Amino acid sequence: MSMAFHFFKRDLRRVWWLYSIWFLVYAAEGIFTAFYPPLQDWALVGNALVTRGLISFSVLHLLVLVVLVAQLVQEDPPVGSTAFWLTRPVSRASLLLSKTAGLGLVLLIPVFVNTAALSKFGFSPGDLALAAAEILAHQCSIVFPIAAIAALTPNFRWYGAATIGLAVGIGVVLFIPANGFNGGFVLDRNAVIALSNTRAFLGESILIASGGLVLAHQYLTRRTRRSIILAACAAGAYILIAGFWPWSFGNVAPIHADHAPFEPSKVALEVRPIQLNRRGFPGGGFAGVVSLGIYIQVPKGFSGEGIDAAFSLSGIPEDLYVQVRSANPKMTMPDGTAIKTFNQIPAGSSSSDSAVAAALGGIPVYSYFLGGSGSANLAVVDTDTFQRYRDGPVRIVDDFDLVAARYQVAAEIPIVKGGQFIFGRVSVRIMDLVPRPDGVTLVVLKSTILLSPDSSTLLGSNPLDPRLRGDPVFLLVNRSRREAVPINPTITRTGVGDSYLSGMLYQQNDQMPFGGGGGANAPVLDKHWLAGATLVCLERVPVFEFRKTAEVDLLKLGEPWLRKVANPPLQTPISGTPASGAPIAPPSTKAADR
Amino acid sequence: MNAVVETHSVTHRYGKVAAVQDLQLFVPEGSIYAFLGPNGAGKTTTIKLILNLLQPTEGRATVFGVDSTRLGPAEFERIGYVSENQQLPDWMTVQQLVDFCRPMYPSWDTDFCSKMLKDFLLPTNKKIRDLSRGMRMKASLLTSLAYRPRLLVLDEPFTGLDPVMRDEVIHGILELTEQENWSVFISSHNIDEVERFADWVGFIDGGRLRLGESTSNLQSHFKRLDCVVPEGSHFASPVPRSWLMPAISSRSFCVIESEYIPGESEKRLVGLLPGAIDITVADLSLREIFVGLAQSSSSNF
Amino acid sequence: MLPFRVQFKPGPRSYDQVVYAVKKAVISGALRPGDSFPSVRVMSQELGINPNTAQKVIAALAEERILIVKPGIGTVLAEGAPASHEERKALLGQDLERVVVEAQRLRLGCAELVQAVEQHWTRLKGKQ
Repeated sequence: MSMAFHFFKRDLRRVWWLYSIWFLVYAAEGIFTAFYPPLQDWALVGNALVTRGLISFSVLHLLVLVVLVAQLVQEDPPVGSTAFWLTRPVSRASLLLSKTAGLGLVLLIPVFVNTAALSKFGFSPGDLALAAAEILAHQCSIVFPIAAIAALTPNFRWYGAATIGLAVGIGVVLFIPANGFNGGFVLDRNAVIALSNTRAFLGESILIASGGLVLAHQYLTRRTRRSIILAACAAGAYILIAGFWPWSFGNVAPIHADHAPFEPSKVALEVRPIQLNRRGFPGGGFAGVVSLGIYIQVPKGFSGEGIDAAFSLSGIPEDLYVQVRSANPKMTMPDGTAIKTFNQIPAGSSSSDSAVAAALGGIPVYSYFLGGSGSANLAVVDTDTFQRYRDGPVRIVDDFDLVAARYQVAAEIPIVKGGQFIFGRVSVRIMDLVPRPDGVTLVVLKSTILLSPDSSTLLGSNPLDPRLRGDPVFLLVNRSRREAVPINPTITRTGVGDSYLSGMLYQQNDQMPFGGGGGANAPVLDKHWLAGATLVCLERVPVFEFRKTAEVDLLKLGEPWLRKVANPPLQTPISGTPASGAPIAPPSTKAADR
Repeated sequence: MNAVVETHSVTHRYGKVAAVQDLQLFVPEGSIYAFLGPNGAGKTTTIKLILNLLQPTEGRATVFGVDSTRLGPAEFERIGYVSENQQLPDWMTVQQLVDFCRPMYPSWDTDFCSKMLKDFLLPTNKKIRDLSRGMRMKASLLTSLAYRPRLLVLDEPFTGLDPVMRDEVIHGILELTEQENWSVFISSHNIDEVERFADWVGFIDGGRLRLGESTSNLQSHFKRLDCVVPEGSHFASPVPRSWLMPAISSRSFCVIESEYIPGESEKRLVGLLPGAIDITVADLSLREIFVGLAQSSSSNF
Repeated sequence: MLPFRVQFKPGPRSYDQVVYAVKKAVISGALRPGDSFPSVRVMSQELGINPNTAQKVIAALAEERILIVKPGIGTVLAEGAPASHEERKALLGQDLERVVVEAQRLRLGCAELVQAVEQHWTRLKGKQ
């Protein structure tokens, strides 16, 4: 419609300078990203959607966007009775179309510029198209709601107040971590990621759909009250769904094999409480609040007494790797008080070395296990309860969820500069080989080949997120010599960093040092060894899930090593490095059985 | 007689308060209709209701026979609206405003527009926000006249204008003379401004329409009766309702008769004041009529 | 600019006042036979009166044969075509009465009134 174009031209003439700034901001970011080394990952503020969104979408972007959208929409406001266009021969549909065109230009600039910047990284046209779609969706999820707010407010002051108020309000409500977000407690994090992504996807869809709907509705009908009700419902729906939607779309079906690869009853789980350990959340702010519902609500600055235990598993087939997580710790006091506690650190696991070795066809993997005792947290009680019952006996019952997984080789390539492979949706490339006296350090670049922003945006699930693929294992394997060497954990890695583009993590620099380290038989990888070796990437594939209950009777809460020996003694102490990093100790000499 | 604007029992409420109540307005096609009333009477609300800037809570209004809530580009191509309640695009210059409005109207007369720009002495390169109040009014009028609308609606256009500018505005409006079927609806709280050039008048007070008829009609049945009476006269029977502001002083009496019938009214006067002689009947100006209406009790309506 | 002046007073109808002003202009010589008379639009704009009123003024003056309306060309002043003596005197009747009432109110004698009339007569006649 020519009238729509007429209005659009006028808007362009008026705010071309704002459009230019908008373009320049993105252009600057795009150039910087394309030609400079990756920035350090500093977004360590937890999973709050808003924080992520705000940091990704820098303050400057937002400021310009807020002003630009307001200038576009409020030049011909659909609220009130004093707008110039109301008595002029322009149909509401034409006017809406012109606003859509103006907003479309706002949306297109980041899509265009960012896609251009990303093309420098050699993504295929199909991937670039997908990336463009994701960027567009992300932008729409911000622009449409803002435009809707602009359409419902009579001037810039009200608009600014409403926008800030809503953003802060929704952010505050959602920052209180909702169920299932306590990543620190859960070993199998795919479920968490999938849930978070599902919520993000739905939330973003709501923002886009409702923003567009309210905007169109207000322009076409000018029924302000109805529009506001629509907007309020949408905001409420967004809060509910983005914060609390319980079902995830994604492959997190419970893993129940028809035929278990082993007999779960033959697996023994030993839990040995060994010491007390002060635990607590530092006070201050929202971080002190723990999830509602599942666990006891913890006020700010909680501190308590933790009971650490040594966990060990036996009876597991060698080619499987089992992760343990606590599902349901409960304490019963002598007077019958039952307390649901929680634990802060995931319980532990069996060693992965044998499972990895099995995946390699029986090639043993050198272990950097450093010895020393280690334990993981069994339960935490708040200080008051602890003081009240510290002299009495206590029974702790905990249902453990155990996930058995197999390792499989995802890729195997020669150790040469430029070598690359695809692991899931990640492309891993060896950028450089840095020789060392006792080995080599691989400088590696991981990039997404299917562009997928981090979990705060539409399609979610960042493949570069190590939690998603379940911690792939990288090894150098010399098959002829039947030797496999993992990454040397004693060498500090520098120059590791993530690169983001408008909230999308799209590449990571990483360093993998192999060889050397402490210990008498630490592997020394010389040229010959390396010549006959390959870089192997293994991924974990969950196979079977089962549950085990452990009961521990403590004779005295205050001295948890005093306990009734209820469990059968351990057959073979299994040592190794559990996935979470907390080493499992052989039975502590201190824990003398009484 | 066709109506260019009509309202049927229109009511508009803000919460519990009715700004306009049960309004029955009839604006004949081809008239210059002066819509009068004190401040806060509901004039602006009425205009907004007519042009679909507000929607009636009850009742309906029509313009060109079309329901006000259905007014669209086809009707607005023939409607001009001038009001301080309308937000002009401040950032535009006069010329930019003209260029912006022109494509919207198929009947835009460029020559007429240029002529008015000159007549109004509007500086084309000045931004609207930098114009004085009177200049702004003229700019608004210009962009509402240039396409020769069939209906021109003005909401208190003379407020804050000096007499020279006022004449310029009237001059501009009357440029539309000689075209067919054009009507003007102009609201004001000051009768003097519009007295001479309105031929229909409506009076609204407290949200209700007290009066709505042609000026000639009005002036034919509102007359001032003067007479000489003997000293000490008093009324033979109660004063009729149609008598406004009866005033008696020593030997003269005058009254505004609101339902004048030639011959009959004089007879009635004599009937009520026996001995009255030398009765003269004089025309009243609109102002005098309204003062009379306003000052007499509201039960006269 | 109109070729005649109207000084509007509150009270009498615009129509009456304009008609009077035109007639006065004709007598005083401001308007001469053959002069073109303003159109409805110009007259209404200049005087700020309703176009219908302006139309009625022209119609009335045309009927009294003071103006001649030529369709398509315009309106012009007619040649001075006097009505009959009696008609003309009757036209003045109301005004004369008003003058006499005023004079009596101001306690002017008839002779003084006649003198004043003569003064005005001379003044206006001089302009013809």
